[in-house]
Amino acid sequence: MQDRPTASELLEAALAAYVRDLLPEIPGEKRYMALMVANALAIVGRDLAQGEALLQKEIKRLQELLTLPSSEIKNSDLLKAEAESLNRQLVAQIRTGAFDEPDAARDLQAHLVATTAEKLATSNPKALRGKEEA
Amino acid sequence: MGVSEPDLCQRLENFLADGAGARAAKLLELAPLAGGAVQENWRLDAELADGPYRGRQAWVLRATAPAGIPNSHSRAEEFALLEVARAEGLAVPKPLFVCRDPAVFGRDFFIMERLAGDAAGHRLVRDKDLDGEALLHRLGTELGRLHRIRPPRADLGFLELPEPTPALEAVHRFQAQIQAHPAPHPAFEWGLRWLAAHAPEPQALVLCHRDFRTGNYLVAEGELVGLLDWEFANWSDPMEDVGWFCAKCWRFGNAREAGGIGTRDAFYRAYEAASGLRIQPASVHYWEAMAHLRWGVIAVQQSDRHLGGQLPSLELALTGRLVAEMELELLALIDRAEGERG
Repeated sequence: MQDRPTASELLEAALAAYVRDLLPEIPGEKRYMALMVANALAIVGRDLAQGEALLQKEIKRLQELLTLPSSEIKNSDLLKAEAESLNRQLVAQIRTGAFDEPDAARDLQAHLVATTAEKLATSNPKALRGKEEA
Repeated sequence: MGVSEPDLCQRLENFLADGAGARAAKLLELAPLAGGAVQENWRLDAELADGPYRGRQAWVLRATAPAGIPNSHSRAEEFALLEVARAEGLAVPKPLFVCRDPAVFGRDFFIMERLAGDAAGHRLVRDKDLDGEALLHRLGTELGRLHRIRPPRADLGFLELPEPTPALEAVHRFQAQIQAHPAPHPAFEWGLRWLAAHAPEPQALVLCHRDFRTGNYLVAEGELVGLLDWEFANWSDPMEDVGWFCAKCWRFGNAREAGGIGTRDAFYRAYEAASGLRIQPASVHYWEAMAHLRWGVIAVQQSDRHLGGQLPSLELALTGRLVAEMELELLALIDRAEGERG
């Protein structure tokens, strides 16, 4: 077992030091790149913190939508493979018109909005809040 | 690459002298310009010994980028489009010389005049002094004039008419690209299903720019200076350009609906007056949904250029994580259209 800090804690410390101490020293022409690095690290941090839980929720919804028996996957390595396999089945059904009827379309639309919102909660929470400048 | 490479420098000078009808050309500066993720733009300063371009010239060299994006024209075709737009009196940089010989620069390119001004969308939408409504009047007028160009045109013979309609052709093209992609994209698949079922008939086929948006026009002192990036232009539904311009993904985080700089009303009024066409709101809404799908597919392709190792870049890598923003707006636009239908 690895000693603390955990990967998340270490990343958080590194990101805080980078933003507080290094970013202000970075000259103008490199600033855009420096901000992209901070953005990428922040995404990784959120992914580590909530990625698995969000994937569990997506899998649960996909199983309902595809009327499959719900099964909880404990092994985190299998989560991604399961989500990908379920999404492949969903795509195949969309193509055959299985969600064209209004009720099915509404269920699918709700699932897709929820999944997309979950992706943004990791990749760009600002976009999710619909934060816009007047 | 730059003026320090003697062979390249010599080849370019010979090409410029030849094109400009001068005895000799001296390359003074060649440096990459910001922007142009798909094509490469180089700032080129040259001194011509004599002829019509005698003296110091401020030009742009526009070259095909390695590992480009599908569906874009060659530089020679983009050059021809600029010539047509220029002849119709549109505000575009004057195209000067085109080079199809890869021995000169390694890939084809053309030379055009370099216009002053700034194209950066994120700066433009935050410019407190900008008169957005006046600028939209100019932009709507320019787009309207562009849409007066109709097929057939012998000088644009390389363009192909969309089959069966502009919307359905786009749907089929993106379907092929998404279905060939190794990862499943359910939101895009559903978006395409909806777009296929609701494809509008165009009121006319016109020359569309197909990348007409904030970030692709130059502004100097609040005035429109030039429309850039003609590589995707083609015959299409005029509402495609209107939808692309107004789409949320091209507002740069600003709430103003027309390109992030002002009201749809100002843009629409000028457009209708100049084009002789009517704005069809349902069609514009449809093309806004298509815009987010298109942007999303491009984002997938851009991120693949990084992941596949063709062009390792943090910016391209992060573009892959923009896909969800396009999906969310695509779904919201479908939702709104369905809501209005009842």
